[in-house]
Amino acid sequence: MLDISAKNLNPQPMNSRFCFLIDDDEDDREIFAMALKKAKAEFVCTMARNGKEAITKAHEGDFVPSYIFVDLNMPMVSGRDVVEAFKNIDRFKNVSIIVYTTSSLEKDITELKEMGVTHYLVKPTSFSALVGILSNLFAHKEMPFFLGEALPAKPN
Amino acid sequence: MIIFTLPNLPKKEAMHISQPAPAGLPLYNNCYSGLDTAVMEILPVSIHTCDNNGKITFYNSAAVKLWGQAPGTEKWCGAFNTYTAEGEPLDKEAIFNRMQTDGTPIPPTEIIIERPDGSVSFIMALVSVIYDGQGGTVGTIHMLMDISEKRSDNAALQQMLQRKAEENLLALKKSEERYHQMIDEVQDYAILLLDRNGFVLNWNKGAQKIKGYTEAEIVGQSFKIFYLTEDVIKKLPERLIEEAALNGRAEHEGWRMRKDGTTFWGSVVITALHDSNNNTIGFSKVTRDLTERKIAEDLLRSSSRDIEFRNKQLEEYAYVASHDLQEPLRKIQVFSEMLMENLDDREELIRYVDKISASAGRMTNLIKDVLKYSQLNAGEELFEKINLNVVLQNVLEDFDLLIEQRKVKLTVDNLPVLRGVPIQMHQLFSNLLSNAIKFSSTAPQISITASNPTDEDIAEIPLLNKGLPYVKIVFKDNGQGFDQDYADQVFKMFKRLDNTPGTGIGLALCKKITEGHNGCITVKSNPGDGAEFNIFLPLL
Repeated sequence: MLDISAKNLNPQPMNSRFCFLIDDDEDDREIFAMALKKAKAEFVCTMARNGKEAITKAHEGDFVPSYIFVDLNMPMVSGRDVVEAFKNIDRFKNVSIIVYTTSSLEKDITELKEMGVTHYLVKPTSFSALVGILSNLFAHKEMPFFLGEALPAKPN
Repeated sequence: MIIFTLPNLPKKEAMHISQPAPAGLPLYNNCYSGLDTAVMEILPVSIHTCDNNGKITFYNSAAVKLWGQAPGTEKWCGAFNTYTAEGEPLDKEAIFNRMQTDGTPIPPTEIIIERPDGSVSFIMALVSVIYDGQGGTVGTIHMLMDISEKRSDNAALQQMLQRKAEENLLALKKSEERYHQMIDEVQDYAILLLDRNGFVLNWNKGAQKIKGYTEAEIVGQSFKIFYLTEDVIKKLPERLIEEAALNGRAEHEGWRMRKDGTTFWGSVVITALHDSNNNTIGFSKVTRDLTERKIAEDLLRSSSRDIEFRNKQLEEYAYVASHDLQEPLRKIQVFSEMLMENLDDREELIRYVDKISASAGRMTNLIKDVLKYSQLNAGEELFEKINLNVVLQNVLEDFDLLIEQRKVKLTVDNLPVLRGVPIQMHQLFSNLLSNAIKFSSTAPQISITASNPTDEDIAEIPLLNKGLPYVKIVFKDNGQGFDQDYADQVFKMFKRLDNTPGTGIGLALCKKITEGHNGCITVKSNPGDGAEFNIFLPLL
């Protein structure tokens, strides 16, 4: 499994593009890395294990990822907090931020959309589905904002 | 009346009559030559004259008919007997003497005459004085009219009226009695009459049954006595009768007080009563005892609230369970796929299978925990006297190995005895100890102490302020702690602050258990400073 710390990427070779994944779940980080490899072999992935680490890394380094994938349900500093912080980082201005989460709550989708994320991706139950979505993404194919099946709404 | 003036003629001596004179002939022809006796004779009305001494000097045939006889020696009137209209003997002498002395004529007077044959007649008598032209009187002239018929008609009418009046009175009394009975015997409603100021005028059996006072005890008292003190202070009684006076009626439902101090739920209607000028003169008040219905309604409402609450909880469980089961299930599916693509790599294979197993295991635990949580609604019947020291000892035994491994330094106080569900107390202590150990630092120190709630605690937690004694049990550790801002979140179902193993339900269980025992749980913590879990439980 590839897990490259941001520090190792200075200076960036032009044709080496990478993703930045922030997810507190070890298994999901592994799954993502595998899917990434399948979708676009040359893409590597920088990881952060929680929101705090992600923000710290972003401020300390000067890397610019091609895509940022953020999980929402993380302890202490949530994915939403991370998105908010990243939106205030100048060099990330044009970077596509994609929510990568298990939550499909209406309010989360709306809120994150308003914050300016590019896509809202619900973690698929199928590995090949994930690979397919990532492939399309990297091929700049036209895709809807919301990617995935929605669960029934939470009772009031 | 005709006044006769006589010419200057010498008076003649009166002739004594030994026998009745024939009717129509004037006795003193030469005295009364001015009298047109022929006219008087044919008048159908009894006319007779008397001299100053009352001796009858002239009479017509109508008089004889009236008297039933020709006059004898009777003075002033030829009837056998004369009486006043009331039946008292008539003192004719006195009357006529008085008339002659002061000259005032007698007004038309009702008398009764009695004939020799015993029959009576009602007579209207008119009498006047005859003057001699020189200021002296000669005698009197009398006209007697028989009004017996009229009188008897009157009498009959009066009797009829009397009878009718009596009948009406009787009917009224009967009607009054009926109404009275109608109201009095009603037992299900208190029907009262109040005066304009709310003082009780009337009582019925229903009022006695519902409110407890007898008629003698309550009539004359103010109806405020039926109201609770707090309502009297709020002037509720006054407002109700004023509303009735204004709008004709006032309705109210609320607690009322009986004579013995107990309360009942009354449904009351107060109606204003008016006189013919539309002034409010009093009120009728009808009260119904609906205590049973109210209790049933309250029970129903609380039951339905209960059901609603349980339904909501059920929905939450369903959501949380299905939602949180998605994650391990997803991983099983994804890793299964990934496994299929790596069938040749044995190490990878084993790794994936392990992950799949782990996920399956998590699902099992999750399901167990949700079930445990949902079953925490223990009824009173499971409560018993528990010695918490025994419970703690059992829990410590469960964690023996772990405590030794982690080299945990344990301090334990003496814990009290209280009422509770033993298995839940065990769960409570177990979860808290588990957390304390899980989040411990390298040199873990855990203390379990018991004390009274501090003044600060009582100020912060309304539950402790109800006058019941509570014990404060503190599980303190020196582990990694967390931000006090998350203090509430930690007790939420499936909320975890980091990724250490566990389903995140432990503290939610603790909260539910303490609340089920009428207590509560709070936490104070700071990152790096450990955590202090405070459990408040009611003592016996």
